[in-house]
Amino acid sequence: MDKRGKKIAGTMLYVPGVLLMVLGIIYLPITASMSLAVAAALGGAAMTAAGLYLNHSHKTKTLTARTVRYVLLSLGAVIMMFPFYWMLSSAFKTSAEMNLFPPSMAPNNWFDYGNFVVAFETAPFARYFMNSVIVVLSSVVITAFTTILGAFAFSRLKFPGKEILFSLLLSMMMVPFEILVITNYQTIVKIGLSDTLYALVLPFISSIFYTYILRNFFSSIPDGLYWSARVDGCTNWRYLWKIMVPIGRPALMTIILLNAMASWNSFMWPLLVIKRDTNRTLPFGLYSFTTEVGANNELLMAASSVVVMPMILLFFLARKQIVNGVARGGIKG
Amino acid sequence: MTQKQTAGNLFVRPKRHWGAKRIIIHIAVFTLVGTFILSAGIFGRVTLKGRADEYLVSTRVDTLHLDGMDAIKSAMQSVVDDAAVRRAVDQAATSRKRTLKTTIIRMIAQGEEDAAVLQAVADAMLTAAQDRIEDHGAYLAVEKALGEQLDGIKASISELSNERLPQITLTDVRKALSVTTQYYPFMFYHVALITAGSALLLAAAVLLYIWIRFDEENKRRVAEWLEPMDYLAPFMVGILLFTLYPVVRVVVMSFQERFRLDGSYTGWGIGNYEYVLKGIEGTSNYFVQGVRNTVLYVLYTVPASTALAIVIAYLLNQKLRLSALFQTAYFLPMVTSITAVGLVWRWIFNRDFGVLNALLMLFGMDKINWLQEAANSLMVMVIFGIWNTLPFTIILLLSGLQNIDEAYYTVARVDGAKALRIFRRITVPLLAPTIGLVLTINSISAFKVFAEVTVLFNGSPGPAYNMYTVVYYIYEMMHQRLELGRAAAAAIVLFVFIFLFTVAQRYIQRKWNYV
Repeated sequence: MDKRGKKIAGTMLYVPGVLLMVLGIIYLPITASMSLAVAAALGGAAMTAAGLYLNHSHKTKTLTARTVRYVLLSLGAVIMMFPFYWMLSSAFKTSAEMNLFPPSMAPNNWFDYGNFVVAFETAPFARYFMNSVIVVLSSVVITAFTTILGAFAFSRLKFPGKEILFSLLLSMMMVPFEILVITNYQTIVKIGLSDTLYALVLPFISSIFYTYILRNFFSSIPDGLYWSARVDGCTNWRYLWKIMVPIGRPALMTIILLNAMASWNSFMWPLLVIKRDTNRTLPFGLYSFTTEVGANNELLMAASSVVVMPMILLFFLARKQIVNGVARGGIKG
Repeated sequence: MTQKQTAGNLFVRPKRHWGAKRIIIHIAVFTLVGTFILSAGIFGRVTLKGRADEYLVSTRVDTLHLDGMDAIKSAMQSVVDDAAVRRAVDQAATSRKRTLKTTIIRMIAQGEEDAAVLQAVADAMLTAAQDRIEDHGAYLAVEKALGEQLDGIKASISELSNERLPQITLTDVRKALSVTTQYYPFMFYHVALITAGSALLLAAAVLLYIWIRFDEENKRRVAEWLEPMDYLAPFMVGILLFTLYPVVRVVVMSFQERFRLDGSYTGWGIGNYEYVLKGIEGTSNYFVQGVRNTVLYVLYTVPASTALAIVIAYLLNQKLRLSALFQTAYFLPMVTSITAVGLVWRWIFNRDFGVLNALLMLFGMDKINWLQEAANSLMVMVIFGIWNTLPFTIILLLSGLQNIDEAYYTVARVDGAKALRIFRRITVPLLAPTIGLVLTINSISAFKVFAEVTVLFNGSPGPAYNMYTVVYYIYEMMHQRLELGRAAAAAIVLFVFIFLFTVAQRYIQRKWNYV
C-alpha cells in the first residue's frame, strides 16, 4: 500500500473508531446492554489505534489528544454529577419504580412531584427551611460586621500588643472546631440557650480565619489613600465604611459566601444543641427525617434535593467567587 | 469614579472635641452595660443565696426528721426486749413519719429551736406508741427510757444538725443546681457577672476621672487609645468566649476526671486519658478503633483523591471549550451538604436496589452488601470520601497550575519537549508545594471525619459498631454519655495528630512562600 492509501485507510479507521469509542463510553452508564457498550468502546479504541498507526500526522495526533482529553473529562464529570442526577431522578420516581432491579435510569414521569408533597407533609421542612435561612442570614450579617471591624483594627489601627495578639489568634486557627465544641456545648447548655436558634449563631459570631483573609486584603490597600483621607478630616469610621469596605468587596463576598455555605451545611453543631423538631435546620431535619420515613428512599431523595438546591443555585450564581475564595483561603467549604 | 469626586462628598471638616466626646460615650455605655451585668450578677447571687437557705432548711429538716426519729426510736426500744413492743414502736414511727415531716417543717418555719422540735417529735411518737403497745407496763418503761435519754438525744441531734449546716457553701449549691432551674445562668455565673459588671463600672469611673481632670490634649490621647479597642471589642467578645476560653477550658477539663455535663468530677489526674487510651479491661476500646479507622481513612482517601485531582486539574487547565460546564460538574459536590449527598450515596450503595450493585452485575459480579456488612464499611467511607474531597482538591491544584508561569512551557515546547516530559519535569515540580499543601489540608480535614459516618450508617458507627472515628467517639462521649472530661481527653489526642499536620502545612507554606 502506498503512503496515500495508508493515510486514507487510517482516516477511515480513525474517525469511526473515535466516534464508536465516545459512543460506547458515554453509553456505558446508561445503556441496558452493558456488553454492547463495552464492545463498542473497546472496538472503537482498537480502530482508533489502528487508524493512528496507519496515519500519524500532526493533525490527527492533536485531534486524538483533544478527544482523549474531552472523553476523560466527560467521563469524570459524569461520575461526579451522577449522584445529583440520581437524587433528582429518584425524587420523581414512585415507590414501585424505586424497587426495580436493575433500577430504571429515569422516572416515568418527570413532573410527578408527589414525593415532595408527601415529604413536606411528613416533616416540617418549610419550618426547617425557615430556620436555616434565619440562621444563615444572621450568622452572615453578624460575622461580616465583627470581621470588618476586627480586620480594620488589625490592618490599619495602632494599639499596644497588636502583633502579639494577632499571632496568638493565628495560632488559634489550627485548633479545629471539633475540639472547641466540647466547651462550647457546655457553655451553651449552661447559659440556657440549648435548643434555641441563638445557639446555632452565637458561637460563630466572630471568626479568626475570615478576619485573617479580610485583614490581608485591607493591608494591601495603599497607605496613601488612608492618610490623604485622614488629612482631609475623614474619621476612621467613615474611612472604613466609605472606602475600605467598597474596595474590599471581593474579599468580603468570599467571606460571606464561605460563611453562608458553612452555616447552611453545618451538621454536627445542630445535632448537639438542638432537640425540638421546630428548631431544626435543614441538614439536621433531613437527617432525622431518615428515621421517620425508614425505607422510603424516594421521599428522602426529594427532601435531599430541597436541602441541596439553594446551595447549587448559589454556586451557579457565584461560581467564580466561591472557587476563588476556596483557592485563596485553602479551606473546605 | 475618580479620586476627586469621592473627595468632594466624603471628607468633612475635622471635629475638634471628638476626644472628649468619645470618652463621654464610653462612660455612658460602660455605666449602662456595667450596671446591667452587675445587677444580673447580684440577682443571681441573691437567688442562689435563697436556694442555699432553702437547702439549709431542708438539711435541718432532714436531720431532725430522719436522724431525730431514728434516735428517739432506738431510745424507746432500748429498755424492752419484747419483740411485740419493738414492732409496735416501729409501726408507730412508720405511721407518723409523713405527718411528722410536715410538723417539723412548720415548726422550723415558725422559728422553733431544735430541742423544741425534737420534744414535739418525741411526744407524737409516744402518743402513737401508746395506742399500739397493749401492755401498759411496757409502755411506761418505754416512756421512762425515752424521758431519760431525750436530753442526750436533743443535744447530739442539735450538734449533728449544726455540724452539717456550715459544710454547705454557695459553691455546693451552685454545683448541685440543675440546668433546667429557672434563672440558672444568672446563678451559675454570678461571680463572673459580678466581676465583669464591677470591672466595667470601674473603667467608667476611671474614664470619668480622666474626663474631669485631664486637659484637652491628653483626653484626645486617651480617646485615640480607646478607638482600636472599640473596633476590636465585638470581634474579641466572640473570640474570647468561643475560641480562647474553650481552648484553655478543654485542656483543664481533660484533667478533671470524669467531668460531666452537670459540672461534677471525681478529682484531678490523667484518668480521662487512661480511660480513652486503654478503655475498660475486657471490653473493646472504641477510641483505639476510632484512631485506626481514621488513620486508614486518611491513608486511603487523601492520596487517591489527590492523584485523581492532579490528572483532572491538569486536563481542566488546558485550553478547553465548555470549561464552565466542566468546572461546575467537578466543583458542585463541594457546596452541597454532606447530609444530603450522604443520603444519596446511601441509596446508591443500597444492596437490593442500589445502582452501584446494578453496575457490578452488568460486569458479571455479585451484589455486594455495602452498608450492612462490617468488612465493607471502610470501603464505603473511602469511596464517598474521595468523591467528596475531589472538588476542593481540584480547585487548589488548578489554582496552583494557573500560577505556573507560561514561559516555562513555551521554552520547553520550543526545545521540543514532549507533553508527558513537560508534565513530569515542569508541571509536577512546580506544583509540588500545592500538592504538599493539599495533602496536609486534606489529611487534617479527613482526621475530623464525622458526618460521613453518621449519615452513611444511619446514626450508628457502622453496621457492627466497627466504624468509630475519633470525632465520632468524641461526639458520643459528649452527647450520649455526657462525659465531657473523657471527650476532652480524646479531643486533645486528636489535636496532637492534627498539630503534626499543621506544622507540616506551615512549613510548606513558609518554604515556598505560598498562601
